[in-house]
Amino acid sequence: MTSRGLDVLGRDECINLLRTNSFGRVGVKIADDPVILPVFYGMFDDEVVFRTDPGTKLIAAVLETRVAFEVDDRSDGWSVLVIGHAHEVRHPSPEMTAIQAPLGDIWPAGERARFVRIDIDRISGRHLVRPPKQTAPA
Amino acid sequence: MTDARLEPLSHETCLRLLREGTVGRIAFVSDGDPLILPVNYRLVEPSSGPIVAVRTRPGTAIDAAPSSVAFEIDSIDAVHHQGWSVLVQGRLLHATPTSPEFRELYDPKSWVADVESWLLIDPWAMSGRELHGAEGVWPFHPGGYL
Repeated sequence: MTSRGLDVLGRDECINLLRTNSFGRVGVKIADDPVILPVFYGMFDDEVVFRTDPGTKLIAAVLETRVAFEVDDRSDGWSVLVIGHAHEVRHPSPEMTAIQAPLGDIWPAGERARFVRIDIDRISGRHLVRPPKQTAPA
Repeated sequence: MTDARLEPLSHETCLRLLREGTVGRIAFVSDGDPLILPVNYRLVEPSSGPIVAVRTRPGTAIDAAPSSVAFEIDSIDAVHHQGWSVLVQGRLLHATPTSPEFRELYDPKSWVADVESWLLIDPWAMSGRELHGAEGVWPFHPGGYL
């Protein structure tokens, strides 16, 4: 389905895009105002799991509330948006504790990461439809 | 090996990064749920202070957003183990282009067509964080050349 330059992505396509990426953004209300915070994440049983450190406002704000989660790729022109309820993962699996960016652990040594999963309630995605590329002369 | 670390960015650095960017994400609460949507934007700096200018199609969720919004840009460089993000919190205002000069100055040059709703984010807070790569991961060390 195309709508004025934007292709609508199906649920499976969205899940696949989430599986092949590791960096996204959580949207949550803090003191009634929306905030966007970047996180590293992984997909486990079709749920988004991200890690955070215990000191941030993020952990207190997201737990047991509905949050937004977004991943996009500027060069490919797609974005995926998830809406769902956030819960703390009390006993993260070894695979979950391995969630980190290619950057390595961004939290100060000594602080234990905490893990949050988002039950996907709504998922949607868009892909920019670009005009066909001109073929370069051989 | 030292762990990677996050450090705050200065206001000036946040503004410079906003000036250089063209794609960001806007967040707001719609029907009780927070939403995050990517947008083309342009930082405009009239004497009254910086403004994030966005265009969208009339009737979209962004067009109907409440006045309290967040706006974010970021970049992650996996090769150099670095990254940064800038968060703006502000008030969303609807603008009516009254002159060709306004259109020229405030147009974020959207990738999508029919974006005839002009929106301005007037920031009340701006902050940024920079991720420095962990020491010891650099592929080249000066010692290697001595």
